[in-house]
Amino acid sequence: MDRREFIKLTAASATASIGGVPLPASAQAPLASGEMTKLNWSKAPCRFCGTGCGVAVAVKDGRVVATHGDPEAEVNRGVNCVKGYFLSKIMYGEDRLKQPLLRMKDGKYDKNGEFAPISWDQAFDIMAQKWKEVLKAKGPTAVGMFGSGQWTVWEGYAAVKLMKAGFRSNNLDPNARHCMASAAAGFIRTFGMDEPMGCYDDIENADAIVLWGSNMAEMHPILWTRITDRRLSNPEVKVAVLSTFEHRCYDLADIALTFTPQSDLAILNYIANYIIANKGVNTDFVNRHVNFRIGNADIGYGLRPDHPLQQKAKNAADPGGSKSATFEEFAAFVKPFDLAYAAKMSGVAPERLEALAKLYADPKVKVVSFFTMGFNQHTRGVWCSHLLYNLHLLTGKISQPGNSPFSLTGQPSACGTAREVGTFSHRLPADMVVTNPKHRELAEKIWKLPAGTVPDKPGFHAVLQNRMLHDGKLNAYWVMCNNNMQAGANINGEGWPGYRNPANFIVVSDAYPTVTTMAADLVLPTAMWVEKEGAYGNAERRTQFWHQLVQAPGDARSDLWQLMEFSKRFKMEEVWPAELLDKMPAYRGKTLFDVLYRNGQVDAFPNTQLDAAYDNVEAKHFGFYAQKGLFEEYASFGRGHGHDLAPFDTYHQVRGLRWPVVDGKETRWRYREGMDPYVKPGSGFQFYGQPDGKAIAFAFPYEPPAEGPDEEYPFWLVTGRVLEHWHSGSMTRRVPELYRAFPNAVVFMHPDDAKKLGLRRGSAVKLVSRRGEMMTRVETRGRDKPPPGVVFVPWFDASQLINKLTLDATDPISFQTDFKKCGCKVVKA
Amino acid sequence: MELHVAGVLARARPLDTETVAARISSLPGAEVHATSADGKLVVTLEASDAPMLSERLARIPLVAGVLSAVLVYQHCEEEEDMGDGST
Repeated sequence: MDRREFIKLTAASATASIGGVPLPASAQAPLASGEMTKLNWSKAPCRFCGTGCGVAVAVKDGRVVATHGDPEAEVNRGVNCVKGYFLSKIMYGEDRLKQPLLRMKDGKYDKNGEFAPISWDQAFDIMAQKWKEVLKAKGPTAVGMFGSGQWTVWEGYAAVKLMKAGFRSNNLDPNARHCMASAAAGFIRTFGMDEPMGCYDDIENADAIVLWGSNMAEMHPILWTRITDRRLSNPEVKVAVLSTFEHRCYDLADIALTFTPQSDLAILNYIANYIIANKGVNTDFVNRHVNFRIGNADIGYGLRPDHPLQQKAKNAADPGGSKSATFEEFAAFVKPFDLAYAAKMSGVAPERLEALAKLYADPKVKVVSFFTMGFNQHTRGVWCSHLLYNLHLLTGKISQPGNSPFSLTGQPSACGTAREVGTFSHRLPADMVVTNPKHRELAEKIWKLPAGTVPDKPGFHAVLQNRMLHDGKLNAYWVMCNNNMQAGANINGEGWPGYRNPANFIVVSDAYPTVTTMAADLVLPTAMWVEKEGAYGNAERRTQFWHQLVQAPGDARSDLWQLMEFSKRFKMEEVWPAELLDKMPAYRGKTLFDVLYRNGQVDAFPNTQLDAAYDNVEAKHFGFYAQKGLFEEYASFGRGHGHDLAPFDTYHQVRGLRWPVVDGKETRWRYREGMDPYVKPGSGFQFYGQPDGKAIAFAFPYEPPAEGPDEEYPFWLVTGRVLEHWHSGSMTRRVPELYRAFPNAVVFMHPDDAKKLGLRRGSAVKLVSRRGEMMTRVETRGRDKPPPGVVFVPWFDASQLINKLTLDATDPISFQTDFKKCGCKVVKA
Repeated sequence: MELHVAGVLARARPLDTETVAARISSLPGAEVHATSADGKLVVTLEASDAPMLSERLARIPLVAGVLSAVLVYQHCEEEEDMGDGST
């Protein structure tokens, strides 16, 4: 056997063994080949999506040289998706940022200058100077930060402390606002607590799997593999796929439903009506565990207050309002949503709608409903999630293996950091909010701060931050670990003018140059993934840790290092008013760093507790095990009331644990007696996030989108992703091979639409909306197949900024942007 | 020259397995080592550089009849390292 043959057989053996496929004896090779044992392997969660796959990472001579799916990781059981192939390469792009860059002219800062390299000292000098000027002139509401669902848990937590306690500004929001704010708001309003009740094990227990606006085959390929296995190994299992265009998931679908954008609201209400009309209601469950409310309608579109659509909306001032109702009133509310109406609104064949409704109504069928951006990026995204919970609550199909409404996430720690740590403009850790005096009091107590430190009004959310930058009301602004100039909607109208407003100083921390760093005044080079010790939380409540495995290049430093080091630049007298300091005279003369991070808690763990096998740049720099101290202080917010995390050291040993972790045991299904230690014996189910333990079913009508096709702009424009590129492509487009696999964005359209416009596959076209235009090429035969009247454009390509065209209409409850619906036209270029 | 190898586990409907296996085998650098009755395919890909391998990898999920495809193993080494199989 030659060497090449040997390596191939090793690969085949590993693959066959993970897949449980027997190989012919002649094709077997020993798994533990010399190469594998020579390398130093450690565990880490994948850097990309919210699935949270475990990866074994091999380091040789200080460099990551290989990765493979971690066979011990329950999430992915030894396999990775195509993106996983690039994990060993994302840190080694040639244009990696290695030192701070400031816009300068004649040796000093100038907003219109050219980027020039400076030291960290100089970078923090100018940054602190700008922050202090703005704080002095305008106060805390003029400083802000835009963070990330890719931050590690302790980075997000350090940022919350710096902003909400240090600078006393709630103007902190994550890019996760664009990603799952609607799902989070829906969970909290119905169950009183965020995040799914179930876990990925639901897949192997379900009889029916329904995708609502989720292209899992491309976006969550590992979970899709588990679904494929479930479906093919159990022919009675059904898969239903709902989308506004046909995609890869349709290959496995038993019921495929391509619906007119926005009509998901009508379909959901039709199914509720069908369940009630066909005796599918689990009356005992509903009586014991569900309250009903009718929500406010006509709530506007989260646009600027002077927009005609806002002026016209009756309940624009109270979008979240609702009134109590009986089951009978709820039933009467959904009654008009019959099959004929749903078919007319959605354009879906009645028999397909009915087949879907039957899956939910049949008490013998266990149903998992997965939803992602099709639901969340929706001006009625919160309503969508409520209307879906209604189906699971009416039938009692919830909080049991195989019965689950399940929101998936697109970022590795949208749950663990953005949501659980609470890096939103209205949140504090562990589902607490700044508007609740008791929550502020608890936060101030844990953080050893005087009463009244944390401001009581929500700060600017993501979309509002861009508007406030544009209006010159937000002036000192730090963007970390995201690419919002590419990802945010309506960048011509708000984003770009906001960043380039002469009144503002914009700092962007990133590992690579992006559209956003180009719009910045100061760029800070950032360490990524295994260049630092980290923790992520995935979509099934699983918290996962990793060690620092390699060194970041040049002067690149982690977000944690940047946040903590910057805090040293502020004396308390410069950030807090005298009245507040008078309540805590011991803090006089100290720095923000002393008060926030040297508080006897964050610095409680000495570096002797570090694992000697791994480096830890931050701990060595600050002189204490900062990650452990931050984690343990953060965990004290949630322990004892449903958000319990295990001790820090445990997570370095295990492949993640799903919270609440009580007495060392994780919780796979919440709210169910016998599975969740918080549920009182005898209650069966208890939605203990709500004071009376009952979940709330909300009734909402159908309402039209903010903008749809018309004569001038005859197409629906839908944006999204493709498998090979992750989000804005700032990591994946660095990897030349991935770039080549799908080099530039295209517009996917129906061949009949193309023909009518005299276009062919590959034709150059201009896409135009009321807000902007973009050049691209036509694709009529790709993997995504829109119906006539719909075009789909991926948004990963920095050379084709589709968000110049999109409308910044948001869900008025969650403030999440609808990237899936606006009018556009296609013009031959 | 370098050798890049990846092990990929693909899934097809059981009745389509052999057709899909033939389609994958016809791709450059691809080899199907085994299939199972429930539609699993054990595939290896080889290429002389990473860009080529990744293009081949990205193509597998797009093959007609492939319902899912995941990466299990990857390996690369310089040709001069290649002795006999006993190293």
